Amino acid sequence: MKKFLSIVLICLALGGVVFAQAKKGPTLRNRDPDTLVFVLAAAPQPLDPNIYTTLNEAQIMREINETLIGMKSDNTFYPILAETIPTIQNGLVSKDGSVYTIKLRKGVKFHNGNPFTADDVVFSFNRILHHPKSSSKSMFSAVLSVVKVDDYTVKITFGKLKDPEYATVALTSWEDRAKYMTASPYGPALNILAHYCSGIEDKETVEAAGADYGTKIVVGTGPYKFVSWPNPQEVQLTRNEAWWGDANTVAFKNIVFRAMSEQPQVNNVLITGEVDMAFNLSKLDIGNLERNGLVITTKPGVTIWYGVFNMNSDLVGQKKNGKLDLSGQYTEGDSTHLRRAIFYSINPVPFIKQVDIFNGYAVPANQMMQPGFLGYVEGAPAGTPFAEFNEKTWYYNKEKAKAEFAMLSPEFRAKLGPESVTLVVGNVTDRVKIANNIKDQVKTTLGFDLIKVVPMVNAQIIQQSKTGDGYDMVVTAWFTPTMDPDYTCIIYGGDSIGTGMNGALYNNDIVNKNIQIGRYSLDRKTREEAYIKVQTQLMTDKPYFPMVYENVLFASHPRVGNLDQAIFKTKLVDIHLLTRLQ
Amino acid sequence: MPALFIGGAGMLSNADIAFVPDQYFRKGSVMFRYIMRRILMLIPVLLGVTFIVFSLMYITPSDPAQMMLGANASPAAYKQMREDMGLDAPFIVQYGRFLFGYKHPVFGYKGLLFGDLGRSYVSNRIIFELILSSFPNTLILSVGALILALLLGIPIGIISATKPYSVADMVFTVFALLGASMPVFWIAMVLIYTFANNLRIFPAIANPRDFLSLVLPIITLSMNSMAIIMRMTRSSMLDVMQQDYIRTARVKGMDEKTVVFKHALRNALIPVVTVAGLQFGSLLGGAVLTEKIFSYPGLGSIMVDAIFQKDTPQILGSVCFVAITFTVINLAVDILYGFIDPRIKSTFSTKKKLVRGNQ
Amino acid sequence: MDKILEIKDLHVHYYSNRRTVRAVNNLSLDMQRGRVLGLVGETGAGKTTLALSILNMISAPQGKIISGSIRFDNTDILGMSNQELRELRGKDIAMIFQDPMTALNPVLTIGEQIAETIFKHEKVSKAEAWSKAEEMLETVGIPGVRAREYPHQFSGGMKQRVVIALSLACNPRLLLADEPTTALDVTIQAQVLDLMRGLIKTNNTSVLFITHSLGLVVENCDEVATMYAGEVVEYGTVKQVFGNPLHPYTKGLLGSLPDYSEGSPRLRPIPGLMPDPTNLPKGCYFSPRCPNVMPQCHELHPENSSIEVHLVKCHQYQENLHVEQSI
Repeated sequence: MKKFLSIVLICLALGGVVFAQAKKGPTLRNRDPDTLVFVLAAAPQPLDPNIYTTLNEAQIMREINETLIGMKSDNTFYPILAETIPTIQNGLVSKDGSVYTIKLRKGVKFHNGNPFTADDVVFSFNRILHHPKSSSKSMFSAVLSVVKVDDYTVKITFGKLKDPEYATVALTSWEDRAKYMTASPYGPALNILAHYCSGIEDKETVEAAGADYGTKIVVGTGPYKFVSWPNPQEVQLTRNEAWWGDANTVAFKNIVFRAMSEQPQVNNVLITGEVDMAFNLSKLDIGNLERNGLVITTKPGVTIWYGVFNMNSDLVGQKKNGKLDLSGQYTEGDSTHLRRAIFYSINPVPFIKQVDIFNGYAVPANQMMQPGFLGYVEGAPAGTPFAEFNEKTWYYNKEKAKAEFAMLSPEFRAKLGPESVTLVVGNVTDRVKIANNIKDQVKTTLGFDLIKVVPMVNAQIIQQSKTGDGYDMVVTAWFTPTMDPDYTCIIYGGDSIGTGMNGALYNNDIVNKNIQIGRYSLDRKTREEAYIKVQTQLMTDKPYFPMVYENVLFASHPRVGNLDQAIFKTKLVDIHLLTRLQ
Repeated sequence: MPALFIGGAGMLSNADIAFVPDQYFRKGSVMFRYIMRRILMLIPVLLGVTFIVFSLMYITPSDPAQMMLGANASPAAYKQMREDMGLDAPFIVQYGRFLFGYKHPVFGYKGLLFGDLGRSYVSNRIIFELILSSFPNTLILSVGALILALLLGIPIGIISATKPYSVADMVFTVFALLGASMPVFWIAMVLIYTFANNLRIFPAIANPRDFLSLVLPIITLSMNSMAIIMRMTRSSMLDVMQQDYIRTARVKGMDEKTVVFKHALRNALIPVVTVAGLQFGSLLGGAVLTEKIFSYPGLGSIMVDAIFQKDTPQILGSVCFVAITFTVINLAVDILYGFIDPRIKSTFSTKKKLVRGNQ
Repeated sequence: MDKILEIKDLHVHYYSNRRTVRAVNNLSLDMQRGRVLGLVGETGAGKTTLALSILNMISAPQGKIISGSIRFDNTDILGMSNQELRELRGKDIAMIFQDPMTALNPVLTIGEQIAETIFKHEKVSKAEAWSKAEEMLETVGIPGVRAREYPHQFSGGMKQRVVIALSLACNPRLLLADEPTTALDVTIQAQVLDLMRGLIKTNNTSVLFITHSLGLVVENCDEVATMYAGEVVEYGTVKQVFGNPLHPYTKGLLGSLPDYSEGSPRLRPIPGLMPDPTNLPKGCYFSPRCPNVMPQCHELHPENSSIEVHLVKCHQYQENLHVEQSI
């Protein structure tokens, strides 16, 4: 027995020594150093930018298919497949701001040798707008027509619906668009031309490949070309040596994209060095990653976390004669007071610090618009509804909360039992934690456990948000890939009611009017003023409460460089801009 | 089912009738009919399975059209998509389409009965092509795990049985209990943390082409089965070692090794074979978690992703495939059983002559 | 006369639940070569234990041979190594068990089971062992071709014949037959016993025939020993013991046989039960039930009194050494 025990002890000791020795930085093992391994959060859908839009395939498609123009990490535009950025000044934009003349870059070839011409541009836009499977129809809905002028010139006309009634009509061809739309300037025009969904595809290849395009056959003009997709979770690209943009500046010869959905496992493979870059990290363990020699890059992102007060709710909404008040002229009633009471009871700053939610990688939000966008109001200027905002405590105000609560009429107060306000949230751990924190904060401030947290499948939340039934509050997040305020305005635009995007079912004429101004003007100043007005109105009515702006967070192998230039606020990475340090 | 066979064989041997020797067995006809019957039973099984899965997909919230178009689709586009995908048709019509086919230029297919469910909503790959290319990977893991479970489980079970309640037996019992109760997820994480992160011996990502990377997932997957097979072998051996014919073998002067391996083990392995067959079925299913963690491209990962994304045709195709595999495996085990146990073998034969035993 | 088996003062205990079962107590027994010795006793008397002890197959930790000696053909069994014992078993001493249904391995052919003994103990090739196995089957009346079949394809009686073939395959000097026909029905019983008698005579095998049937003893045995509570209480030739039973237990056994000459008889059992082997009475073990019990029976354990070859353990006969030989 003694012998046995002593053997066991020796083994444990040896094991401990080996363990201690073994901790070193991420190694490449016997991996090819010329290959960058990039982790995606889920298996990518087909690599067809005109049709599929999630972040996972977007990361891949951006390297293969290029757009007409691009956006740098400082939000300025630069030409890619277009020769110059069209502006009114250089005459490439019509005087009324609705027609963009794009001069295409000459001498560009697709990966299979086919020449890049105007036909491909027309084809791609037609696909985005009219293909039955396309998921980006809404984003590009302002495009009225794309017309070939000659092999290297294209005219894109933007427009709007002649009548808001036509919103339910499916526009399935250029003719339909001509019939139901009229030309108009479009504020985010350049933004959507820079969005990866408008990556240009080769007409000849796509038509020939049929349903196999995107999975077996993928062709573009970009710095990387498609090699293979051996199983749903792995995509292989290789450098396009014939790239028009100088292949010598592209550091990594090959890219392998690997889908890994388990976050702790992502941390593991970063530590062992089996992958080079990842964003779907287990936030809890960031410190451990740093200790193991990985480079952590974080910068502000374009995801805003916010809460919704359902205007169709008897408890926190705005109803007139028992029906949803769509007039926007809100009268102060009991529900208004309760809404404000809850509003002032919340403080999202602790969520940011909380290790298992944001772990410090977020910034408190003072309005329903991301920082850096047109019309964003910095800080807390006096005389505005933003004045109450504070970096440390957000809009939290215990006295005001209690005061509002005290203003409730006795009958209304009597109706309020414990957990009578339903807060629905997507059944993802972080979101539920945030919801529960809100519940606790309200309970502490008002002294009354008012909120009931109901986790739900996200799709069901969207479903219920179409009609505004079955919930009083929602906690959710919004991501704006176009980097333009117009896309964020979908949340509170009157025309979004019934789509499930406007969860508060909020309709305000001032807001709607200014959204329209912002949407259909080209002048920056005009747009900016319009959006400021929108935000001011929103923070006055308080149908939504903004919580935090979430940071973008990447971990990478120390051999990868130029991260700051290459990583965007949209969580996308310009892999061809990365450099090799080792 | 094996119990019934043993009972039947037992009853027959007690009768005062001598069986005809081997050369008169026409294994062909009865065995063939038996196999055919079992394969025909597949049809109601598949219908039942697909019906249940389809119903579940139908009643759960989450709309494939919505998922395809993304969160901010226009109502018009959404309506069009639903029509194209055939989601507005009544339940029975949709189910019927899955069996017999759906005519549509973009979303059409020939139907389950023709082995064509069209393309996955999410990945746009041809569903059966995807299943057939990923299934062998899952098979590699499952077969590997089963082999490991048998290779380690049976010998350890024998050792435990021949030295019951010794120190070795206690250690192995604890090990077995741990293996059976630890969740697959946890085992995987511990193994990865130890061997991948710290000792850097094995990679954390598994790849069917790289054998070294398969070691950790196979160990992970086999833990549970190994524990079960170990305990099964142990108890079966203990049971067999008490039998009279073991005493006879010893009394004949056979050495202990012959007694254990030739006399006892062959009998003890009979229930273990049944358990191993069942374990294989659960290994095929249990591979899901292991595949997810090790990011391994098998059928399990595909099924899980399909379920989360409400990719109904993909789910149906995968589920059918697994059901067929499971049935075939069980059939194989039942037949194998007949070859191992001579008592079962006889029931597969035809009795050409019944001869009154001459005593 | 030539003694093939000499057992002296054998004590065998079993251990279960922290209680000691005294299965064999101070047992002494001699067997003559070439003779059939019947060992009679009720269930629980220790007969099977005795047989297993002869082969030194009492398995620790459940059981243990405490003390005593067993000599087989002048070889000390209890001092033999495991290797020597394995060579002895099946070759020099063979054993047949009571239940033929479970004595054979169901997954091996009967031919294989016989041939493996032959192959182990005799220097022949596997093919020769197999043909010898087929021959053995023929001698017990089973067609040799059936050696390829499995036990479940045979009836009970045929299985027991296979077991006999198996045990006699290597021509053992001593055969321990533990109630070989108890599990068979009467007609088969007769056939099997005929067979056994024939084979024993041919090979001059000595047999220890364990049974609880007095009738079988009379038909098949030369000598008989009565066993009670783990010891031999009476021993002699069949004629002696059954003609003139001395020990009250033997008398009780014979007396309990129904006597049809008196019309419809009433059964005359021996009153009482065999003592609990974990708690044997002081003095003579039979004393609680003995009709001729004397005071010293409760105090003192009786020694063997011998009347020529007719031995008896009873206080009645302690002093009286001369008993007329009854016919």
